[in-house]
Amino acid sequence: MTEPTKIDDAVVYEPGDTTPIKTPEEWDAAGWDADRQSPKTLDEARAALTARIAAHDAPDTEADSGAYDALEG
Amino acid sequence: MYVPWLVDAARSTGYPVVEVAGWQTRGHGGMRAVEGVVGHHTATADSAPGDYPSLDIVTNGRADLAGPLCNLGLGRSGTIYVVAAGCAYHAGASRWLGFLDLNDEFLGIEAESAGTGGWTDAQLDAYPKLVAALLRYMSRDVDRYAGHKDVCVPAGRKIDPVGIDTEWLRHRATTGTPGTMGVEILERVTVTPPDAGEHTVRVFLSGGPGAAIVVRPRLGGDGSARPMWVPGILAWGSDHAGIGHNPAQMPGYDPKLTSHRRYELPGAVWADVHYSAAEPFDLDLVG
Repeated sequence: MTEPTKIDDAVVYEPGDTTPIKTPEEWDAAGWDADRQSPKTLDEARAALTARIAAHDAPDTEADSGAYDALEG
Repeated sequence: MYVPWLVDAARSTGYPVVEVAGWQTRGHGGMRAVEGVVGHHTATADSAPGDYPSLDIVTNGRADLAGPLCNLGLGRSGTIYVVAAGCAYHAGASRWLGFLDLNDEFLGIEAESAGTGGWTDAQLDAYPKLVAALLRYMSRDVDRYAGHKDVCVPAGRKIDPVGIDTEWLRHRATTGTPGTMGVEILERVTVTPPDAGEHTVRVFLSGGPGAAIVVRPRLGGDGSARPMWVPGILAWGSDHAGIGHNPAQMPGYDPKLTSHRRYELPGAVWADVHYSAAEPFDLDLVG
């Protein structure tokens, strides 16, 4: 098996590590998503895409600028 | 929000997990919500050495694309790299199931593959287990997984993850929650241990290709399950064929359970489940 990629300051858990794992139920009880927001509206999605296209390190391009113009297929 | 349980979900797969320093606060801001998982491949050449040669790029980005570019990475060995708890730029322009611009509502997995359909056996085992674990921790069903190729807009803009069929992965990523595909519970058996020591219980299965056992520790009143251990399962296709299955031989097997876990036992007609548990638990026999 390939060795895991070595990186600085990484914490590595091998199988059998006895460090406790919190269950989904424990995380739910802790209210991990108490500050969740509603899904984006069409206007918010268009604004987010426009902002990324305008950014110098944007992951999207002008070709995607009309991405939210059509109804979902 | 910054998703706090990524390491726990990753470790629950039984595969090695690497926390990339700073993952807890890495992101283009936080997530708005956590609604599902989008799968990708890294498209890094097969000739790149190591287990996860794309780690630096998916963490820090490129000159034209700021990182993080995923929430989790999957190495060739099945090792899971926890990269970012916040919003990662992985999906770009995207829409699916009524959600728009998925980056801050769906987690992204970048699995190491050149994009020609080549995957290691460990990845084919670990990828659906990781998806299943993430969906379990966000309390979403398996239909909340999609490939980038399924969600990108304009349609056809992306092809990843090549070689990972969405329906295949959803089937393999059985979460055990209602509505999950491919699960037919034939019988539920409650096991009451005589004490906390190691014991064995024998169960009988369908003998079909989808035969499996789901071990379910019970939740206590505080919503958490006390850990139990399954150090091995020995299953047989028939008394005559004598071909055994032992999930404990799978890479990264972890005998400790703190939530339910499915053990694939294709073709098995009976199985001996070795366990240590202080409290009663359930076994679902799946066809």
